[in-house]
Amino acid sequence: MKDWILRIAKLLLLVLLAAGGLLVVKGTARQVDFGKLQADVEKAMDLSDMKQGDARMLRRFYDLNAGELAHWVLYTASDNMAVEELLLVECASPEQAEQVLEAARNRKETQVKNFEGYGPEQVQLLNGCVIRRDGSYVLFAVSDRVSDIKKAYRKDLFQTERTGS
Amino acid sequence: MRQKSRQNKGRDKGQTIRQGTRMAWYVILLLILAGVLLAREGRSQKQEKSEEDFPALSWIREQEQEDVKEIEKKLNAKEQAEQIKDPAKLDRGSLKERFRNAVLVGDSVATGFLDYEILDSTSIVALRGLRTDTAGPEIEKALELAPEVMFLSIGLNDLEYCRGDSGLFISRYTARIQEIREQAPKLPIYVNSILPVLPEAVEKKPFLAQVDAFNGALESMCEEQNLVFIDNSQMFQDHADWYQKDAVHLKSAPYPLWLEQMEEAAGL
Amino acid sequence: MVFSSIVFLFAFLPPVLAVYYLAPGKLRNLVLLLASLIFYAWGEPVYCLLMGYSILWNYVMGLDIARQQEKGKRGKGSLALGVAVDLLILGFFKYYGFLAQNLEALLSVKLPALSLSLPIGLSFYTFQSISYLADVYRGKAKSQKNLISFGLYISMFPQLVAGPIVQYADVDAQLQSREMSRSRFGEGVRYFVVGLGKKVLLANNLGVMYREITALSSLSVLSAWLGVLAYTFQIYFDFSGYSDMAIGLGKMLGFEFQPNFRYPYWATSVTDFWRRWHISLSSWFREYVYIPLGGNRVSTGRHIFNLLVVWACTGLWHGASWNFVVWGLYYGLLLILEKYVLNRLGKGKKGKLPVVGRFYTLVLVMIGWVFFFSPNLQAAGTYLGLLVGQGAVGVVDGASLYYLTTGAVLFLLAALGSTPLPGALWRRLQESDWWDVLTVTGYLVIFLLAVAYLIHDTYNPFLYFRF
Repeated sequence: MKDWILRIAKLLLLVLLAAGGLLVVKGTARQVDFGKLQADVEKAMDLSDMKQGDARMLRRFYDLNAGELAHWVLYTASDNMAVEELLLVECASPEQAEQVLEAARNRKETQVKNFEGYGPEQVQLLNGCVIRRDGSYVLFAVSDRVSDIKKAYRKDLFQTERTGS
Repeated sequence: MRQKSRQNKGRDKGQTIRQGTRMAWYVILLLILAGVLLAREGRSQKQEKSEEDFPALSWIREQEQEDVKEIEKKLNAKEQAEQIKDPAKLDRGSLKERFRNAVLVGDSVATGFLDYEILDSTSIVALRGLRTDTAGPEIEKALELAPEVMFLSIGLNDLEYCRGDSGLFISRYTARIQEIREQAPKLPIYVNSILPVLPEAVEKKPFLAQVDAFNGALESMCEEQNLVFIDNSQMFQDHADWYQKDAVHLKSAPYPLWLEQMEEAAGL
Repeated sequence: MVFSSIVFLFAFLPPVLAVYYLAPGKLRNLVLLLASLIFYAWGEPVYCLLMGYSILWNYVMGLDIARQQEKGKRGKGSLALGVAVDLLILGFFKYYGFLAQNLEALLSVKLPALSLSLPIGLSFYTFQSISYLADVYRGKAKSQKNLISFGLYISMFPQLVAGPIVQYADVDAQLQSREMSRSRFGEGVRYFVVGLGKKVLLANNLGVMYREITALSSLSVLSAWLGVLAYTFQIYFDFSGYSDMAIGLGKMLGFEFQPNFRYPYWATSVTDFWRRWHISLSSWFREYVYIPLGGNRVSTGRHIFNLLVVWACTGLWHGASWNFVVWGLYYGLLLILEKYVLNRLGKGKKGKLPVVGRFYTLVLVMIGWVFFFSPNLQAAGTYLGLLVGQGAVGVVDGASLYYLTTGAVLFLLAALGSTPLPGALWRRLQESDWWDVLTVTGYLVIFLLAVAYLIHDTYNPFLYFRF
């Protein structure tokens, strides 16, 4: 009696292990060529009326040290009343990526507070943003094209396109 | 082992341990209390930090150089006036420098000076939604910066809140002027006209049609109060390209020109 | 969640302790298990499922081994399967990238480049699982039929995230019944406060210094040494502080864990050092790898082999990178040297000059840390060069003097704290009438200082967190 309970339990757990393993592999971001990722995400975004940010802007808006990140790109809106923004980062490690994610969350909250009760359209756009971390990658995008951006980002990170490490 | 001394003190280990653990309980209770207090303090501290955008600064004046500088400023102002009004040709660095000892208090249109990095936070106190009746704290902050010249750019939000009653607008504005005069009687004050908006904005928000009317009232007030009124309307004619999508707020281009206009008016 | 955080100290611990003590004896394990799951899920909601799986798997395999043995078999197959899956999970999350890199370098085999993150505590609870299976197999403990008790062993929040690694046999009886007394609780509070102080007041500040020094664009020899010194103390107070907190929490809950550190920098030889540093890890490796391989009851050649294997693994456990393996082998070689060469040379002599032994040990340990904190072997080599003047900007420079003077007090405190002297002083004070007042005040001061630092500082890393 006890024998076959154990046997079934072992089998079930091994199957679960395999299934879990597949899920994890499928759901884990690949290490990709940042240049390609950046190009694909930029294509999905409407960069007119936006300007590229430098390390100073990164520190000013996110309190992040550009030198510690592996690769990154930042775009902010040219107009001070507009909230379109794009931050794409490849961090040195997943742990660092958590910190960057936190910084992005803070930035979004600050912007929402800036426009609260003053610019409902901006607040809406901000609340519809995409903000996520996958492995060592972080994406923060405020745009009306959020779904396209998300698609481009996911396509590069989760397909089996191996573009080398 | 110090048997002797223990015996001499007349205590046994068990009693010591009991006392010790009782102490430990009290310690824990105290710590929980302390912790709650400290944690609350920590949270409010973090809030305070985010509001601290305006450090107190003091400038050292080179008294000996003053006269020379005055002449230089006037010469500069004349030069600027004679130049073609092309924003790209203005020297942002020197504009910022000339505004060093001045402070502008303004509303959301004025925040552009900060957002586009035309001025530092030591030269401007701007808040979105600022109105004459709520401008008190911002004027306080500006005065704390110990400016030698004060500029005001308020009124856009009053258009909505005063419901077209320019009299109310002026009475509140006058109150703010009085406050400044009480605290810094010798401080020269310059009043900016409310910047014009595009017709598209007036369609969406009809109260914006009152801009000219309010500016007229403002100009009269300045005459009565012996203040300099800076009329910015000329500058914006035929420049629909300077406006953002909402037809009220401005892109970065006109700010250096507006700053230069203010500096001219004050002789900076 | 980290022990040294406001959330843990004031929002998690007090309610958990309250519920734990108010609950009837039979429910206590369940309360603790739930609290531990919350503790873990707080930071890693997804990986909590992984830990859940690990608990189930090892629970079943433990029962399986026992069943096999009931039937008269050894149960080796079950042990092998159980351990294999545990190591597979650990290997996947921790070593996939390392493996992929090396396969590509050696055999030009390209595995998909995954950007995996390491679930917190995985190295620790995996080793505890293996300890359980091995102990059941060898008859050192009976298989745990109660899933809650077993789950508690794997996930118990005091030692889940950063040890000490508790061997199952040591804690088996305590899972069923443990003594919870006021004196034990008080002891636990003391341990916890001391650990908190070590971590927040000493380690974090040393860490800031270390970070600053290593961020300098050019280092003098003195700066390089100060950097190593700062790290040497930081990692000790960081890790032993956390261990103290873990042991303290255990006591508060009625558990007695073995100490994990015994003044390692007071050691008189490298062999002695490893009897004082991260004791639970070296014990684990001795118990479950070294002894099964034959330990020292084999030929000299085989003994050396055993030692090298164990130390390579010890190094590798600390990180998926060659510099960790080198670090481990470095100690393996030193231990072999001491056992076979130095001991034969200076029999009896070393005991007479502990100072010499301590100095020699400290220097070797500090060199070891260079391999530990360097991101790769190249960087380690560069830094070692700096220590002897290669590539350095002179012996002393402005920066180094600055750090020497501003860090003097901190270094002094750290050095004192690394010795058994404060502890001895403490025991002397126990004789006096002032003991109660002194101790309470002392602990209160440490605690409040630590909390103040936690509120105002944002830099609060924990070095052994990535294991």
